[in-house]
Amino acid sequence: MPVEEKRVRLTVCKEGERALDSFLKSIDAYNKNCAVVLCLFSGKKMKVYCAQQSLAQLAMTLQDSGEIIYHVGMLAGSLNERGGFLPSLELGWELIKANTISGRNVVVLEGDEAKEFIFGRTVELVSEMNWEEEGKTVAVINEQGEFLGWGKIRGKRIIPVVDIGSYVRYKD
Amino acid sequence: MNYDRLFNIRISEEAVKLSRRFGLLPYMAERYIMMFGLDGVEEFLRAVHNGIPRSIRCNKLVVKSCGDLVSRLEEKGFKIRQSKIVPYGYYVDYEPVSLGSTVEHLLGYYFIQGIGSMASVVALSPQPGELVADLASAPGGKTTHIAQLMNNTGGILSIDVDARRLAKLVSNIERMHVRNVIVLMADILNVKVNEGSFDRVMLDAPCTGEGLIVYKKERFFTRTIDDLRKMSEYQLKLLLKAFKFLKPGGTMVYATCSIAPEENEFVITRALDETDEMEVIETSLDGAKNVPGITEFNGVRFKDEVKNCLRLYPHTDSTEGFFICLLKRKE
Repeated sequence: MPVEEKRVRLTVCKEGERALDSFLKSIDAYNKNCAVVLCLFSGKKMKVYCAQQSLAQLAMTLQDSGEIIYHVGMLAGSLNERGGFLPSLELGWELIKANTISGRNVVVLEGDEAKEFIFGRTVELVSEMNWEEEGKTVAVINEQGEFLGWGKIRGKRIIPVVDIGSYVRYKD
Repeated sequence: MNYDRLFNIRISEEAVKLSRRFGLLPYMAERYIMMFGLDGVEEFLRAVHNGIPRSIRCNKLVVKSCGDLVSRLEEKGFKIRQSKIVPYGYYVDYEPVSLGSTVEHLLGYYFIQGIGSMASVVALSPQPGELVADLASAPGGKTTHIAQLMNNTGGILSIDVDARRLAKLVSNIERMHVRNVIVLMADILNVKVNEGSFDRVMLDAPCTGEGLIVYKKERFFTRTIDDLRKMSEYQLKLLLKAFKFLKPGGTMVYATCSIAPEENEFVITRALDETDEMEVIETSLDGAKNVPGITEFNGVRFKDEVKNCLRLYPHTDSTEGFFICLLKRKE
């Protein structure tokens, strides 16, 4: 369902929770550190956050007193205008660290492939991988098991969705 | 009390000579003579000119062993040396590539941050489960450090007014895997947070950045005495507002990356004039020289309590110039 245009507002929201659950299900994963799911609406965009109960309560109290909340807890992802869920880097980090994502949805990149990926570039794999679903989102890790980002598989290529290089590619 | 005298600097011949030798404005040289004496001023200015290496804070939220991180960076050719003041802080004496471009940086294993800045959070000593406010918080070095010491528990309210700086703050919060922060876009002076609700408050106040001359030599000639006067007025307002965030018995750090007494001991003195709820606690750090606050400057006597504050300098502690003062709200 498309996200309706709303002013900047934080709410406890089922819409975000459903989108997050649906995404996790699609990659055979679960997240155990999401006590409260909050949504932050800004224009037509919606960001989905996970927070501990007390932090969520404080954020809502601050908002009720007229403050503008910019971030709370952990960003899990965002919903675009067409209702598509874009997972955050933080969510990927959590899933890999807690080992709560199926290995079928994780790709390991070595050496230069990993470097290319965190430069935001499409990576050509040496061998074609046997993926059940072309275009499916996968977690990308390096040889040390460190989360590098989310990608999509297209034949022998991995196209970055979001990678950790984006932390420093951010422009003022 | 009339403090005008503080901003009326009479420049001596010695100051003029120093300003020519070291390439700084004469009024600054005069103030440094007042701070360090004729014997100490050259040592200070030489240390400033020699500069200090950049430093990193190992993120113990995600790095099990800082030694492993150091080894990993050393394998890449970095030369690393541990800070005496912050055990998980390291000087980087040689960078084969930019510190900001390594995969370890992108993974959030470290934050590029001055040791003086780290020391202010060590002085605040936030504890797990507490409620802490970090005011004027972007780009997030202190917010993410506070979260590290709280082990991602409790809550941190992180406030900044500038939207572009907030984006950088949030990016750093995410990169460093911090989970216990609420970020507000707000002007501290107008924020409607319940007073008296925080265990600890960090105010790293906006300042002239005079302590950063070790990194940015242009600050030797881009700031005027009038900048100091205006800044100190603003800092006093921020300090008095920030102090109200504290619970009775709570503690706050007032810090600046400036060594100007006008922005530090003078501000604390005026705040003490404004409220009788404020107490200056002795600020000391293991491994530091623990240079005390200045009690008299340019003929103006500050409150005696300001000697409990702490000054960091490049020539005494190998840090950027920093002022740290621990304040308590009386019960």
